[in-house]
Parts: sequence; C-alpha cells; structure tokens
Amino acid sequence: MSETILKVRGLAKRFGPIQALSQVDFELRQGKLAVFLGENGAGKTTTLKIILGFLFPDAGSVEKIQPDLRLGYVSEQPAFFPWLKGREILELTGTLFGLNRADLDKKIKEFSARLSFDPAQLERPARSYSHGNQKKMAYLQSMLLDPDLLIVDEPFTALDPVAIRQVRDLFIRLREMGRTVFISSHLISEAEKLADRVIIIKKGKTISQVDWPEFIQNGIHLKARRVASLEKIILDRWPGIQISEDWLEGFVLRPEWEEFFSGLNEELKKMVIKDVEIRPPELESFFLFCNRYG
Amino acid sequence: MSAFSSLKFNFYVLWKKILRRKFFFLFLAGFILFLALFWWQGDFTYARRFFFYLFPYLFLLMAQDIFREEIDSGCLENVLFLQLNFRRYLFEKNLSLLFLGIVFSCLLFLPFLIGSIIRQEFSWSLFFSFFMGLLAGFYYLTLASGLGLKLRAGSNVLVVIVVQVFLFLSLFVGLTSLSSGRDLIDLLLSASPQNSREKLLLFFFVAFWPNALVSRSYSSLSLRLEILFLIIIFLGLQAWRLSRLELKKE
Repeated sequence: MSETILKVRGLAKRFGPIQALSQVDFELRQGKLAVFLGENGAGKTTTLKIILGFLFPDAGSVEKIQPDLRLGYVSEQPAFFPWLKGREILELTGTLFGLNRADLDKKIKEFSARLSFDPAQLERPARSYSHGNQKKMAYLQSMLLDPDLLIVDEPFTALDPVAIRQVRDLFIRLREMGRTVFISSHLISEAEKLADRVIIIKKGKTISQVDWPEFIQNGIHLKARRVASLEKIILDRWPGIQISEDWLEGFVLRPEWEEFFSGLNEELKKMVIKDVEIRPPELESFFLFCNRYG
Repeated sequence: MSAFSSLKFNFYVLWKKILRRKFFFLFLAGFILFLALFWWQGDFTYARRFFFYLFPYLFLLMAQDIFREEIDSGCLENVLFLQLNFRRYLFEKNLSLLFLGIVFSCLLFLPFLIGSIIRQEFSWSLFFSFFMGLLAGFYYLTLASGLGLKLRAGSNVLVVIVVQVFLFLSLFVGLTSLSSGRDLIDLLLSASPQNSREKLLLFFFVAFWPNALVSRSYSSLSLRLEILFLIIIFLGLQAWRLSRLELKKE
C-alpha cells in the first residue's frame, strides 16, 4: 500500500441556505490517480477549492502529510491575469517557484511539445487563447512546478481528442514518476482508463471509495430478476443488495459469489444461470448504482 | 517565499495592469496639461498650488477596481496563488499602489521644485505640502481599496468623488443660505476651531476632503493624526475582510 499524502476529514461547507458539503472524507495516496465523481452540484469543485485554500471549510480538515507538498492545479475554466501575456505568466510562475531561466525554457519547450501547444502563442495575452489552449496553458503552468499532487477539475473539458490523449499520457507519466493525480471528472470513460482509486460523492457526502483495479479484479456486478426463492437467498447472503421494481442489483466480491454459487442446489443453480446477470464492474454502472442507492 | 519576491511579483502585475488603463493616463495627461497651462500663463504659484491640492487624486484613480476585477475574473484561482496566498497578494497591492503613487507624484513634483528654486521661491514648506499630499493620497488609496472589496468596475472611486461633490454642493448651499455661512467660511479657511463643535466640523471636513492638509492652515497635528488614524482603521478593516475572503462564484 502506498503512502497517504493527503487526508480529507469530515469536510462541511454551507453557502447561505445551501449545504454544499456535509461529510466529505477521503485520502489520496502517493503515485496513484484518484478520480472524484459526483453529479452536478454534488460538491466536487467546492471540495477541491477547500483543499487548495480558496475556500474555508465550516468543519473538517485537510491534512497534508508532508507540509511541503507541492500542489499543481488546473481549474475547469482556467483564468489568467487579462493584461499579461502567456510568456509573462510562465516567467512569473517560474520566478515564484524558484526556477532558473534555463530550466524554465527547457520545461516550456518540453511540455509545449507534449501538449501540442504552439509556444508562439505565448506572446499574446493568455486570456485571448481559445478555451482549449487556455486549458493547455494551465497544464503547462502547473507542470513548471513539478507538482507532487496535481489537482485537476474536469481535465478534458474544451480539449480535442488529440489533446485528451496527450493529457491522459501526461497523467500516466506523472503516476509513473510517483506523483499523485486527483481529477474530478464527468467523462467517466476517460476516468475509467486511468483510475487507481474512485471516490464518489453525493449531495456533499462521500458515499463510496474503492481501489478500482482491485475492485475490477475481485468484484462483480450482479443483477438478478426478482424471483421469490432467489431473492430471499441473495438478500440473506448480501443484505446490501438493492431492490428496484424488477431487479436486485449490487456489487459483490467474486470469491464470495463463487462460494455462494457452489453451495446452491441444482435447481437454484439453474435459476441463477437463467435469472442472474453477472458482469465485470464498469465505472459508469458503479457510479450510477452508488448515485442511485448511496 | 520572501516578502521581497512577493512584493516584486505584486508590483509587476500591478504595473502591467495600470499600463493598460487608458483613462488613468488620460487623466494624468490632462492634469499635466492643466498645470502646464497655468504655468505658461505666468501663474506659477497657482499651478503649484493646484498641483498640491489635486495630486492626491492620482492615488484614488490608481485604486480604481483594485480588487473586484481579479476576484471576479477567477484569475486568483491560478496555480500562482498556491505559492502566493491570494489574500496576502491583495493586501500587498496597497503597498505597490502606494509606491507607484509616490513615484508618479515625485515626477510631477520635481518640475515645481526646480521651478521654485529657479524663481527663488524655494521654502521647506513645499516639502511639507508634498508630504501632506502624499498622506492624503494614501488615505484615498486605503479608502478606495477598502471599498473596492465590495464595489465593482470603478464604482469604488466614483463613490468617493460623488460624496465629495455632494459635500461641496452642500457646503455651497449652506454658505449662501445660512446666517452662520460667514462663520463657516472663516472656520474652513483658517482651520482654527474655537470650540469642540467647530473642531468636530473640521475633523469631518478633513475626513471628506483630506487634500486640505496640504494647506499651511491645516497643519495642526490633530488633523494629521486623524488621517493617519483613519488610514490605520481602513487598513485594519481591509485586512480583516481579506482574511475571511473566499473565492466563490457569486
């Protein structure tokens, strides 16, 4: 198990009459990519802003295990000083974070190439770039800092398919370098390709967090028709299984399912084969399940 | 990060922001032209007097929309402010603006200083008036920047100007219609209050129009201390509000 670098405990935040967060808890581990999922308004961006110090929590805490943890951040819609050129912003970033001129130029060159960002644009105000290029500029700026933890709100918004792939590769490279990436995304198909850990929030509350590769390896998505005899034994074995109008649905561990199945009599086994769907977990169905029943 | 690099960053960003402000430079050019015209017409003393009374407004104009533009545009959520606390950055803008205001003021004061020496009109009181003008300018700066936490698009400056116009109009009406108008004129010209009511009136007047401090009649220590005290109050209130500031969409 890799080392925890950030602990979020019991975050709560209210904006006037709206309780944006009520109980957000999770941990981020070194060298892992964590995906933060939730519906619109679930409290993802508020949580990120509290971690970054842009908002104060009403309750709870954000604990950086290493006090000198270097953070990088790319917001959903990056914003820059309207009166500064791209190059000026990068130079200021370099100066503030103690980069010398040669390192700065080297990094600008390297990451511009990685993100297909034309460095000629740096001579114009960053505010005048297209949305996609503003996003690339924000990645470029964050990468200058060599962050231990890169936090990204909607990493793929405004990016073309080529850039999406480049950003995905960037995350993978950071992970290989032992850096932590924390992304909040609605693009589940992309998130699924990357996730080491999945954290789901609903109405300002953490409802689920799992280590995704292990979950895929050991878990199954079970969906059973509501046949009386079958329903009873499944619910007896897994009380957490959810009941909808026509179906029983849940995520269970594969070894537990295999043990359960082998213990059934022949008649029930036939029933299971006929009335139960067993699939490997997919992030979308897991998210929808948690969001519906969590 | 050292306080010096933080201030250097602050000053650079602010200078670039001021540079794109056409209105400010238009005002500056107009102000210089106005003083030059007086001087050219042969009224050097009047030009100098106008300079002393009016240059504190440079500080006020520089503080136009000092905070809200950056807070509302989202640019404080930039990765830069993970290293540099955005609350500290905003507070330090007072210092950067003060520095810039002093530089502009010195550049404008220099020709008058040289002119006074050439015309053998030099007196140390010129420096007194200049420093009092700087104090008034700093007062405007802290007042407008405090208002700038709430008011958008230059209305922080507009409010101050409108209040002053209203004050002068009220004064004019009061002077012409009230029986005590003559006494009021005497009090405002001499700035020597005879009782506590007059003292209070003078305090109010200076709080609304601190430029009066450049006049030798207004050289009483209590009036200067009043402005200094108000500057500290404004800065304290600003620091308190900034310490609670959050970057949220409104």
